[in-house]
Amino acid sequence: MNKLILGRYIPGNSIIHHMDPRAKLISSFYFIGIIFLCNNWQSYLGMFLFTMLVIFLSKVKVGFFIKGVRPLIWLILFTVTLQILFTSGGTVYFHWGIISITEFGLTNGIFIFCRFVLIIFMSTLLTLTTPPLALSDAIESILRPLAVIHFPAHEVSLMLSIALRFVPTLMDETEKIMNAQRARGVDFSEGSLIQKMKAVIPLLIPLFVSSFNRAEELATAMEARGYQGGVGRTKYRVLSWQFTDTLALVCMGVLTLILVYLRA
Amino acid sequence: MTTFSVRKLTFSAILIAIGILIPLIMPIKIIIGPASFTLASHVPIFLAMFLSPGVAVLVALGTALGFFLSFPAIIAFRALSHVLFVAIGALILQKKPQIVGSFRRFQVFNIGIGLIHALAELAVVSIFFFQGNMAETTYTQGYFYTVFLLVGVGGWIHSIIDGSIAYYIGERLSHLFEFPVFVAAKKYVPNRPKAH
Repeated sequence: MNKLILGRYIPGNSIIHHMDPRAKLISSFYFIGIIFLCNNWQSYLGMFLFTMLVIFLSKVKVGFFIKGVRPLIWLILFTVTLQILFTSGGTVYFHWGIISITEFGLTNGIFIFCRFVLIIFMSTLLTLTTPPLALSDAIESILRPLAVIHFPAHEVSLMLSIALRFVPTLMDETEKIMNAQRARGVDFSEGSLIQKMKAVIPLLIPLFVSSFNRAEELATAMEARGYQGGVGRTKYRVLSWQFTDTLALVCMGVLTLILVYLRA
Repeated sequence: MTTFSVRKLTFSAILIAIGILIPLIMPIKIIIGPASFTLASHVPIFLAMFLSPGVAVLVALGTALGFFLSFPAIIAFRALSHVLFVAIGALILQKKPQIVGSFRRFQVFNIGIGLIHALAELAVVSIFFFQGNMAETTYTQGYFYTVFLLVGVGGWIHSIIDGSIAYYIGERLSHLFEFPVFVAAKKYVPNRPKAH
């Protein structure tokens, strides 16, 4: 349960906690977009320092962000290893068959690692400093203009916040099921493709059954509390855009200009 | 909002959560060269297709949004491209639910829908490739191998495998939960003579 940080909220009293969730959401997505402008040490260093500054301002312990990277570490290391082993260019440090470790490979591997980590840090910061309901309100507010084409903005935002809330719970559930099946002798790592497909069934069926039971219970609970969708619904907490939110977006703009300058 | 709509909402949310979760925790990955395919990663969106076209599109959009928050943009955009094939697939299943009545009929559908799936992902990855936004390894090994073969053909096979797993799971789960496509498909099963 404690492994996955995505979807968790840590209450706090920092400037980041007090920001409008819409500003945080827009800034996070913008950050994920502009990280692709980075192509050298200076630009990655700039992004790293910016991320560290924001984490410092959030007053959330860095350990939480490292925890956020942990579930994805194998995926990251796999990508980085491929990058290091198969990229050619620059000084060759090691060569064996089609595999070679080169200067460019190492540099690209480190860049990709940084990119992954910074994206995870920033998205973790968004969920750690924003309550799920506020995040849901922000998504609803951003998607509201789509109501003209009958897009169900309220339902989509609620659905997303429920999904994010359930990710850690279902991860815990999956681990329990996996351990139970391993104890019964299921081997997830050995065998042909057909055998692997068969091995996955005893994992997925209990997961979907328990998840759908949760969905049924949740639907019953929502109906029992009189939930009738977004139409005519008022809000207890109304979002208010403040100067710090505008400042955050200006900072993202300045960061983009710096990255473009460093890239040139 | 009707009772069924609340159910659809909660089921969609749970399917999105599982859709985000599977690539993170699934122990079975098929690795071919620089590509890795997570077995069953598409199962939640296939199951959403058995619920309704609206749920399918929302689950595809939701998982893509979840990936934007936890994975690099290319993975999220590939997930976003799923909207196309799930929308088409779910509409076909809604109109012709008898497809899920037999595994053979479903496989024909699965192969066709897998092709749309693979072509959509191929288009997304090609845009990234030609804009120079991909890893150096991709360019070293060339477009044909890393993009066309691995993403296109590999993605097609991956989609067919996941579709088959989803069919098996959906068929089993339809005895416990209400999947409109499977419920409708039962109407097409020819009546067996009653035992005397």
